[in-house]
Amino acid sequence: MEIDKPPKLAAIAAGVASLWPLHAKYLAKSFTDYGREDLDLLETLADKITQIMGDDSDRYYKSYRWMCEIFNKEAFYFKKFKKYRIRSFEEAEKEVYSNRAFMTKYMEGLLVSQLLWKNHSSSFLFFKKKFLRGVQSDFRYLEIGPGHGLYIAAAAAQEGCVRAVGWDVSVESLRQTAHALARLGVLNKVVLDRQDLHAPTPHQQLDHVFDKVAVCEVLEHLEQPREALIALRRYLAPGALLYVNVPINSPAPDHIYLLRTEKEVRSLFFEAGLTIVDFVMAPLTGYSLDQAIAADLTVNCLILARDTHG
Amino acid sequence: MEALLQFEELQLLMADVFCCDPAVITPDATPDSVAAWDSLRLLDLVLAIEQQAGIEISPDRLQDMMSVPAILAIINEGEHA
Repeated sequence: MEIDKPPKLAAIAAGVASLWPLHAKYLAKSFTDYGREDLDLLETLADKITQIMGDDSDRYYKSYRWMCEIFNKEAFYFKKFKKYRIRSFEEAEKEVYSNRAFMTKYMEGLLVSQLLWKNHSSSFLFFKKKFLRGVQSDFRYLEIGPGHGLYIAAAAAQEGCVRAVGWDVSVESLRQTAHALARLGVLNKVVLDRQDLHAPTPHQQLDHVFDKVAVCEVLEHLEQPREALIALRRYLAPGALLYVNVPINSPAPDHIYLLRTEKEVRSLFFEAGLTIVDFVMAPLTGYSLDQAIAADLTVNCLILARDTHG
Repeated sequence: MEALLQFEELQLLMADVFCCDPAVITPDATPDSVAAWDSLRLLDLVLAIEQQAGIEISPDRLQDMMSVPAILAIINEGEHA
């Protein structure tokens, strides 16, 4: 028997369906298989998204539809040519990151997708239930590419979080994150910095400081994800837990590094000197894991890891 | 001008891609009437159409392919690469 959807989650799904009736069939599959506990956690996510959207929910829903149509075109290219359309950070910068109007709509769409796409909502549940749960004492949190702000806001609000820091290379992305955190009332609990992991940093004082580090849907945007993971290790405190969410076979207008299999993802971590302690695969909405793998469709790899040498 | 693809040919292609009985693919079928018709399987269908009809369909047309009549119109409109 299907469990009733909680009200804010249901309102967002209904709002999108109202604006985009043809998407209703997809939305009907967005929350299947979730039990009461998961739906209650997703209701907290829906609450945050509702707060960030404020009175502009229709604009966010339109941006979501626009983004889905863009993704569909990228998926078409991927099916046809078996590769991502763009291959370099320079191309992504030119087409996406430097285009403020595009970025704004893109990030608004992504915000809504955090609830409506099962591979995204699974990531939030994993983050809350496995990464943040069970914190015994004070912890320091670093997030690379905080984007929509939902994860860093959840970490900053968690009991025991004494420091929350977010880094991104994109000024526009940081602006959007700050906007979201302000709407959620936690901007004063977070430090946002423009920071490239590969650049020489003035952050030596942050070496081996962070107990929890999150990198959600970032590696696929990089030309050298292995080097990024290696660079990240210097910020991990002894015994620190790293959460990485990286999708395989996930075409998008700014995805450049194609990982095709679980094995490739595991190799990336091994080569970067990280030991995986948990690995969950979250397929896209409406598909089982086996179906998604067989058809080379998007599956998000949700990974907890520690520094092998830390 | 002769149509590049007739309904009956499209019907068989769709039944194959969507793994359903051809009878489900009626002349006015939409995603609402075909359970497996979603945005990703539509991409498989478009690739199958391209191969069978020897045409190339612009990704910009994907969002318009939301019924059998719309798909036939796009296939047979004669503006393909």
